Amino acid sequence: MSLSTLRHTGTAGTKHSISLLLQTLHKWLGLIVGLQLLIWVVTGLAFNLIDERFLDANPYRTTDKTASPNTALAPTADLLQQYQAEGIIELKLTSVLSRAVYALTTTQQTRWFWADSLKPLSLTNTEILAIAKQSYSGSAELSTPQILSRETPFDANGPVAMLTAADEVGTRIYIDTASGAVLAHQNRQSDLKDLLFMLHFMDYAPDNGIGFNHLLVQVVSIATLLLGLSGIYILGHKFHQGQLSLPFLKRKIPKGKLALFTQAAQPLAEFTDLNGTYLESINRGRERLRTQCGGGGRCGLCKLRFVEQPPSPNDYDLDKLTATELAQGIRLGCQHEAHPGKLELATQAQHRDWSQSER
Amino acid sequence: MTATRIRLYHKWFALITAIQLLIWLATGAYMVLMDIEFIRGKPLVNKANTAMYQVDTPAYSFTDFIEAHPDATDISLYAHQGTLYYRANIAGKLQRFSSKTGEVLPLLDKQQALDAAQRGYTGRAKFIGSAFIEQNAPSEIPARLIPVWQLTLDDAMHSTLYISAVTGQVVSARHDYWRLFDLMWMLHIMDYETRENVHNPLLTLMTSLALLTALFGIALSYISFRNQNREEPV
Repeated sequence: MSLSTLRHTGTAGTKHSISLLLQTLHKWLGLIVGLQLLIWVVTGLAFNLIDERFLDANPYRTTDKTASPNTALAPTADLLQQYQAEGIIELKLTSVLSRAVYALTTTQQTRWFWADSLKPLSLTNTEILAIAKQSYSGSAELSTPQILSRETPFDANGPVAMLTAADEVGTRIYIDTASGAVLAHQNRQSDLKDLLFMLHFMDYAPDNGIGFNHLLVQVVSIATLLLGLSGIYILGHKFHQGQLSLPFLKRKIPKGKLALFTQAAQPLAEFTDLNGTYLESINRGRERLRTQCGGGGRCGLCKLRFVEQPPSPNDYDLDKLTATELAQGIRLGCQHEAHPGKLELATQAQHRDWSQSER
Repeated sequence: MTATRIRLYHKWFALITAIQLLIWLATGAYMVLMDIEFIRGKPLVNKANTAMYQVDTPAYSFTDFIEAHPDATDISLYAHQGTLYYRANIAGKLQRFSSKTGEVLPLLDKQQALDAAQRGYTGRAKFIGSAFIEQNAPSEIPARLIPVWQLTLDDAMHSTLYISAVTGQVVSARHDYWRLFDLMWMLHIMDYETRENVHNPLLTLMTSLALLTALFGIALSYISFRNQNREEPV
């Protein structure tokens, strides 16, 4: 036996260190990014389960109807001449409150002019309120416009005005004062959606819009990818060790009983329901054999001595047990599939824990 | 629940969800690492390249245009290959008009489309393919953009510019990283048909199982880090 043990130690030295290293990596990565993984799964599930209607920003938004302007149009020649040095890209005819507006886009910027007078577009509070009302189909009163001084997520060309409605979802309407365009409706429903996106994208500074191309989420996503890859390696390793055999594919375990003895070779207990590892079979229903790691092969508490024919040690045995222990036939109970046979407890503490568990 | 059970459940739920979890993590990592502006093809095209610095006053005015087409919407005067044209939606159909006479202009031919693309394109690769698409828009562009000229470039990422056959404006720019992104998105939301339905039952099932994997994993994390310094009994 000792010969095969030594041979095993010699050849598996580098290979087993990789899987142990990856298990340690997996454990630490789980500690660091496990919570974010949970947040991703929970918010993902929320997006999947919550009906769009409950996250809708626009229950009271009217569909845009560009009423054709009924005002006279000034010739565009002066406007084009004035800004041609900036490079003319496009001159759009739009309207604000049924008054025609020219939107002139140059390579530098876009400017808005009343199309009847060619004066730069500017809006009074009353006009901003009227624009907001036009976009709102609810019956609640709208507040007076408030110009926001903070950064907004909108693609606005001028200061952004916000109006609120005292309806049941708390509608907020945002208007670009440079163009008179309705930038967005928001409400408590869309706030929930934004919160979910914020959590999913880890964007905790969303003032400029919720984005997913920032360093924090990039680093954490790579770390979590490593968590997943190391997890899959460990699964593959466990499969290789026979710890993942499916019940219906399992090799037939010869019927019989597992007899457990004390260190003094006194009969202690017998087990007939042999399923999974020795640790799982012995601890079925009650924790008779104490374990800290729960069968991960990392705490070494479940070591048992095989009275006859110990299985060849795997990398966890080699990592946790001394050469003497291995030679004595001691193995980790969590690392080997339970078979009928004779085993002994291996430590004094196991006797104490055993009698405590019996009480 | 005992530590043994928690480890057991983590292991088995992980086995069921492993592949999909890895797909979520890998596709998620790709999507956050790739700059979304690059994915959308923004750097391939510069709108400012079409700008005109010497403008002749259009003989046909906006007033003339509205008189002739009272139902027109989205009317604009835009620069294209050194000339101003009108574009407008009339009865749901986008059309291009001369800014001198106001007459409707025909669709762009291949050479005109190539010239327009050449002007807007910021890269150096050669255009090596062209196709006029009037119906059955390819899945990588919205159907509302047709008719378009599909112009393929001879670069490593198989860039393709889509030029509106009506206006000559670049309406879309696609490349392999966008196509991969689209595939990643499909794998991420597990909707393998329309690639847009996040409310599908397969996603519910796998996310729920992944939730259990993560919860047992976190419980195991607690177990693994508790009582680290406790002496091993001999």
